[in-house]
Amino acid sequence: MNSYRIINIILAGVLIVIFSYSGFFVSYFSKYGVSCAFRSQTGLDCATCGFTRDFNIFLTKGDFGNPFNQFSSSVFVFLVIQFFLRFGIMILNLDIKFKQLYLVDAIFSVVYFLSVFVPILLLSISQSISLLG
Amino acid sequence: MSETTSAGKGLGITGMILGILGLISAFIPCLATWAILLCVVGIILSAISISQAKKGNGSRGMGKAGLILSIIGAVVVIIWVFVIASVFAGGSSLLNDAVQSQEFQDALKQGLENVQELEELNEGK
Repeated sequence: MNSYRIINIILAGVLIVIFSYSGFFVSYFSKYGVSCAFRSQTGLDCATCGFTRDFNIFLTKGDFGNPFNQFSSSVFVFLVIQFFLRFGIMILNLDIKFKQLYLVDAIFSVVYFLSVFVPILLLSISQSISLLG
Repeated sequence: MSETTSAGKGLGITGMILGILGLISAFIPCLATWAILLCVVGIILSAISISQAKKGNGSRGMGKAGLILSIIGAVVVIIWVFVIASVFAGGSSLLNDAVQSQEFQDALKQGLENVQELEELNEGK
């Protein structure tokens, strides 16, 4: 089995764990498991607080209307697309004939990742600067 | 030209996975503490994979990619640490300024006088 396929299998597995945790297991606990260092120190929500709650609502109710966090829907769509990409590559077992696929996949994923996550980083930094006054 | 072997392949894949997960986690402030763990382990495994590949004539691409991703993730986490630390430092200096201000001192004095008056009233009863 080639390395590319192994990586896709493992990443698809990690995404299944993330979706299962936020979609199903989290509803069995009264409090949401992931603790935030920023919130525990400052008492304020960080730019990614509320993701687990939103993912839970997206997966269980399909309601994208009123998310707790403004970025959660774009991150959720990114993760869903990545899951189908990893799962598709895993199932199709595209091998050495498609060497260019690695490059296309890497460029697409990196550009999409940056377009989704850089605004989160910028908001967090501006939040911190405004806290500094 | 000698053929490449599979030396360091397993560790290279593990380092790459940890690098990808560490980098994604590093951009999420809530997961920054997990990210540093993933990135540090990713750096160590990728470095071992590169050295094994060098010795056993294996492919070093996966190890290098894992190392680069882990280092970028670690840098992002270090930025977070500085940002949160500066927020803390800023917060504590603001608190010090507030405590040392004349208004706060007057309010504190007034509060203590009120408490004393209440105590005297209670003793009088």
